[in-house]
Amino acid sequence: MRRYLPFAIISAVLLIALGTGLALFQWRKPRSAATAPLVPIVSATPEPTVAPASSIAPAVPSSTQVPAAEVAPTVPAAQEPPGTADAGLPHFRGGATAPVTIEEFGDFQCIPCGNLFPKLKKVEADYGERLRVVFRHKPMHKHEHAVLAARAAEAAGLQGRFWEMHDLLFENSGRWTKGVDTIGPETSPSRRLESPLLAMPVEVRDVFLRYAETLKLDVERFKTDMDSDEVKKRIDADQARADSLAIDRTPTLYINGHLVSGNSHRSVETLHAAIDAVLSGKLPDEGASGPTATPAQPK
Amino acid sequence: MSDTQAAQERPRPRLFSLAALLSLVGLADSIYLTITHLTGEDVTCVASSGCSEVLSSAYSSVGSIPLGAFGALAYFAAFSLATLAAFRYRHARKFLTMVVGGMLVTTLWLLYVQAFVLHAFCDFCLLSAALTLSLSTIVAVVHFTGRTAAEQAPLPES
Repeated sequence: MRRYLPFAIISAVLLIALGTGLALFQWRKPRSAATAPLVPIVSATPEPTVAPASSIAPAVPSSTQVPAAEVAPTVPAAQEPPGTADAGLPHFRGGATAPVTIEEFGDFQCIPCGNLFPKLKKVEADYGERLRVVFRHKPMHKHEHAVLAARAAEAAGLQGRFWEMHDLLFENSGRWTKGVDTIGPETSPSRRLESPLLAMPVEVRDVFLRYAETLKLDVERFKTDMDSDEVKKRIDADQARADSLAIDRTPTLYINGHLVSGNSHRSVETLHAAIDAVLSGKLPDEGASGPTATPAQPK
Repeated sequence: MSDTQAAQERPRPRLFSLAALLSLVGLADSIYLTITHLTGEDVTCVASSGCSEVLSSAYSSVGSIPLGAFGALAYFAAFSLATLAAFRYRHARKFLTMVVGGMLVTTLWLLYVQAFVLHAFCDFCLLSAALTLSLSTIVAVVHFTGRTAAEQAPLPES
C-alpha cells in the first residue's frame, strides 16, 4: 500500500491544482458583458481649430481626423443586449464607415493599456479605413492620476486634439506617472526626488500643461476646460457605459460589440486575427484565445 | 559502519517533505499568476510597486503561454519528485536536482530581467524566486552531504 501512497498524493495535488485553477479562472475572468450594443457614433472631437498636425512636435504621431457627424453602422435592435447605448459623444478615429469598430475602455495610467497602445496603432495603420477605433474612459480608482489624465485628454479634445493628447499620454505614461516631466527620450528626465506624495497631482497637472503647450493648444483654455463640467460629463458618460457593461478592468476591448478576451489583444497578430474573424463573419467568442479565421491581408 | 558513513547514508525524508511543501506554495503562486495573465487582470503588489510593469511586460509570456504556466509545471514536477524522493524512490532525487537546477537558472534570468531590464519587481515573482532558491538550497544540501539512503533502499513494499 505504501508503495502507491506518493502517487496518490501526487494525483490528489494535481486534481486540486487543476480544480483550483479552473475555479479561480471562472471567478476572476472578466464579468463584462459579452456583447455591447454598437451605437451610432458621432465624434466628440471637433475639427481642429489650432495648428495643423504637421506643426506638432515629433514626439506626437499624426492621427486620422475623422469628419464629425459620421454615423456608424449599428446592429439590429433585436440583437442589442442591455447596456448604456448612448454614452455621450465618443472619440473615434479611422474609417467613418469602417466595417469593423474597436471600442476600447482604457485608463491612461494603466500599464497594460499603455502596452496595448502601440499594438493598436499598428493595427490601425494596417487596416486604415476598414477600421474605426473608439476610445472611452474607464479611469480606475487605484490609479491616482487617471482621472486627471482623462480630463487632460478631454480638454484637448475640446480644442480638436483629443487623439494627439491621447497618444502623448500613452507614449509618456511611463514618465508622467513617475513624476518625470519631460517629453521624449532625447530630453534628460528630471525625476521628482523630494516632493511629498500629496504634491504629485499638481506636478502631473503641470506635465499635462506642458503637453498642451507641445500640442500648441490654448493653454489657458485648456486649464479651464480640465476642470469644467463639460469635460467631467464626457468622462462620466463613458464611465456610465463601462458600468452598464460591468467592465471591471482595463483595457477592455469590444470588436463590433463582441468582447475580446485579454489574450486576443496581447499582440498585433492576435488583434489581426480577431478583426479578420469579424470581417469574415466569424465573431470572436468571449474567453477565446483567438479566433480561428485565416488572417487576412492588412493593407 | 563509521559515523561518517552513517551520516552519509542517512535518509532525508524531512528535507524532501519540506521541498514538496515549498513546491506546493510555488505551485499556488504560479497558478495565481497564470490565471491573472489569462483573465487580463491588473495585479496589485503589496510590498513592491512593479507588478503591472513586470506581469504585463514582453517577458511575462512565451508566445501566448504565460510564464506562470511553465512555473506551475515546474513546481508540480518538483513537488512530485520531492514526494517520490521522500518515499525513497530510486532516481527521484537525481531528477529533482535537474528540475530544480533548471528552475534556478530561469529564476536568476528573471531576476536579472526585473532588476536590469524592467527596473521593476513584483511580489509574486520575488516569492517564486525565494521558493526556488530555497529548493535549490535543499537540493544542494542533500547533494553535498553525500548520497542518501533513498537511492540504496529498495522500493517500499505494498
